Amino acid sequence: MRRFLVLFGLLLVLAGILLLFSTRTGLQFGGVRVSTSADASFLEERTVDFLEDIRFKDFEKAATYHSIEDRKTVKIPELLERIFQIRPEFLDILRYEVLAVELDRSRTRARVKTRTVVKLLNSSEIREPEIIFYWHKDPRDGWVMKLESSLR
Amino acid sequence: MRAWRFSARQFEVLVERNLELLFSDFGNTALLLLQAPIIAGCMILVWRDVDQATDTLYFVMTLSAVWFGAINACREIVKERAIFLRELRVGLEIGSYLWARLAVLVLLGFVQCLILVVMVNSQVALKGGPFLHFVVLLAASLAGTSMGLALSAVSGTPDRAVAGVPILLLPQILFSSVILSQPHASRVTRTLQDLTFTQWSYDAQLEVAAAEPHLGSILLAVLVLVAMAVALALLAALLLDLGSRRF
Repeated sequence: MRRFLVLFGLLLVLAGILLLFSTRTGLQFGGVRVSTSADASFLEERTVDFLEDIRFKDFEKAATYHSIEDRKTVKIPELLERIFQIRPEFLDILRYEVLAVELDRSRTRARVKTRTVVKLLNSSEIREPEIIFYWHKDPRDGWVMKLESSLR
Repeated sequence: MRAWRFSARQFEVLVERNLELLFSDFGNTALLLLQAPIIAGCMILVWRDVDQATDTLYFVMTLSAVWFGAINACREIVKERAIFLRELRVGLEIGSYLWARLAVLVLLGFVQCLILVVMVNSQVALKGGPFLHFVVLLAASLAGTSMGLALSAVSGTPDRAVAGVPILLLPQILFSSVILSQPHASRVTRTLQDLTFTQWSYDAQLEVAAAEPHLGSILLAVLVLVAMAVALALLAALLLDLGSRRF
């Protein structure tokens, strides 16, 4: 019986690791990430951070994912309105998840596919848009987002 | 009732023995475990092309989980009926025997469902995250296992038991809302739908994948599946008892 319980316990731990701590690019335990691709893992985390920022309407922080030059001109609320087709004040982001992270062969361009569940507060309508965020590796700023390119 | 008598000591010994048998019959165990990655691979091939999890994917996953449980269990009693009858004469409790069988088969189903969910989710992101999908599928697999044990209890030979699996699985497909949507179904069909594991599991998976999932509905479906599994296990014990009286 002890062997059965040990086996069952091990399977529970394995299931917990694979189902609760897995991400699209590896495993994450609190702040510690285990991944086969550092870039993919970083981009997944940054995209989630960005979505969290816009969920909490922290547009200043959301602008920091852009290059230093773009930060001066980027208007996150307007871009959000174009993405979700609704004014940001009526937008309630309920959930988001990263579906895939892809890097090109040069590993300087990437796209992160996401699914977001949003509620339109003025109509209570639920939408689940899939959005692709485009990133490129700037020699000076590192990975920076091109939010406008997601709209083209 | 004699069929449902349970001895904890016997249960412990029988679980150990069943585990021993599972590990010693490596070929058969490996074959059973291999089903999960093969079926998951086929699902990935089909659904990666559409690049999203559709409702039919959830139904196929549900059906696979029930299949895993049923095929794992369908030969387990009938293949060792002679041993069972001999041990019954020297004081074996049917309840202990059956729950010990179920406990080890649940481990097998656990691994299969885990492989299925992890593999499919890695390529076709399951809406709502993989954890709740796994819990629902495990409950469906448990119900399938009990159904397989009941089938094994009434089958004369292992071959007949295997042949009986599709007969029990077809209604699980036919009486699902995937084949016929609820508004067009008669009251009889709807009642039968409520009695199929696939319907409860499929509905629960759709709920997990919903934009605003209702955890109460998911929990209810899982509890219904577990209750069905317990009811079928008790039925299997009863059938075993009735069958043993003939010898």
